Amino acid sequence: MKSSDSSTDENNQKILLIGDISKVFLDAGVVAEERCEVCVNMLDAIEAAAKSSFSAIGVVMFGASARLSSALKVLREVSSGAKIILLAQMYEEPVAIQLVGTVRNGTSVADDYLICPVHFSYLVSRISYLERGVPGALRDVSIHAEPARPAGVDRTIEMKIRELEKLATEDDLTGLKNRRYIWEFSRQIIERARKENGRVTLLVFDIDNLKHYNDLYGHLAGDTILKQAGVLMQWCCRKHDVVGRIGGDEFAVVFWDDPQLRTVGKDSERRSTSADHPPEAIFITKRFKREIEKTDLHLSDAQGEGVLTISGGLASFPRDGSTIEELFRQADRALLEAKRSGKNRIYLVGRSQSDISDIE
Amino acid sequence: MKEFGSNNPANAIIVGDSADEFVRYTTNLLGGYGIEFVHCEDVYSAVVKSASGKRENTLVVGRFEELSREQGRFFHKASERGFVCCCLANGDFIRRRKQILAAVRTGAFIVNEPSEVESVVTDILSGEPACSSGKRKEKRSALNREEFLPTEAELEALLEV
Repeated sequence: MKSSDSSTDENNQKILLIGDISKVFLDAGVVAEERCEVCVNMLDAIEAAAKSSFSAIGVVMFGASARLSSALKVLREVSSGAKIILLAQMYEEPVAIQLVGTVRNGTSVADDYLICPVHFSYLVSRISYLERGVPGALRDVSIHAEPARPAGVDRTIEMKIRELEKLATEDDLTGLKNRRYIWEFSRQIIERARKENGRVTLLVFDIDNLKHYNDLYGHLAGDTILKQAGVLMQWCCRKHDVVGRIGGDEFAVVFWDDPQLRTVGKDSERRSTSADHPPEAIFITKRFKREIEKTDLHLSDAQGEGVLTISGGLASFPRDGSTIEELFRQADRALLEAKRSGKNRIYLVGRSQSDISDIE
Repeated sequence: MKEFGSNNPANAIIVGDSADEFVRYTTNLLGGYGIEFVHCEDVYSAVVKSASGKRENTLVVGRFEELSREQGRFFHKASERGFVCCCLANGDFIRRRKQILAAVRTGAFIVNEPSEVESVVTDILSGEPACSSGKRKEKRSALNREEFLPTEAELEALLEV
């Protein structure tokens, strides 16, 4: 880590990192060797930005104040030339997107965001891209001596990167998040919940008798059912809950406490009910189960209407497990039990033989 | 907004939304005493302004909720510069107990009513600002922790109530 008394020219190349960087970089140790100044506190960072010039500013969103937007606005004002990149956890992505789209005084409060953890070199690449339109990741490999690429080519590469990111995290049939994303998201959100006394609930469910539909109406009809189930689940969920398809006809939903929606009253309420399954997750699951039963499947046979059912298992952190592996295992076990008991039911871990619909 | 600096010194920073009743009250109060001030919408802008301010005993007024953001770091920065912070806590002592005690330790004044800001202003105008305990401080930068102990105990007792 370099001190801030370097020459102006050197300062222009410096990166200011704000927040606890240990959670955002896979190689946090490398940061010390780079041209970085790290400020854990936002006010120290604003003061540093006001005194020195930085080429880029990386802001760790985890643990940041609820007034991050105001802080970013001031950062932007005091370091107008610097690119501001948000370093977000997966569950912070909606807020990051919102902040990148927030325009104050004609400019966005942040230029871009990265979903963490990432290698520090990826941040450097991102900064290069934003500064010159040259993707640094590619430059590192081969284009040191090559002439600058036309802007159009850079845009194509950028689009391809976005496309690859999408392919890596989304299920191409339903457009929902895929197993890899759900797993990593759950891991991150459980880690946060552990620190902040939060709750996370995992619902794993599948469509009853999907094979029957496939055999009867064909695989395209089966695909339609999967898509409709995904759309319906998303519709039933809150905006911040994450819905994914994790296998053939198997889905997972991660319910969690959005810190932006928290109030003091709710905090105390959460503590008092930590031994139970969160009522919001139960309410949403019940609603989904009810809605899917009355869904018009738009299948070729009129009998398709109103016969679709699901079976599932619901497991909560910290009640039913302290890791993502444990939660999946418990939710899967409850799902299997629901199947064995005759399907069309969702069991809560620890309350077997009692369908969610029977719970007040 | 006025700029800090030797040519145009400001004696106070008012922090908060300009539509806030307390900010309006403080603006009128300082104006009435002829104190020059700058207005900052939030603590983030205030830290930029205070970084460019050199004068000791500059008064910083705002709601405790605003000035204590980011783990109360602003109070430490203000204390290092010899600024005097005066915050309205609005009776929110119980929930913010730890934060308030930490702020008091840096020399910040905590008031419960907007009208109490006036006594802090008059202390500053008299040239010998009192510390939060009500005792005269001989040297702001050399804050004697023992001097604070009774005050802290008193505050603890108040917070218990």
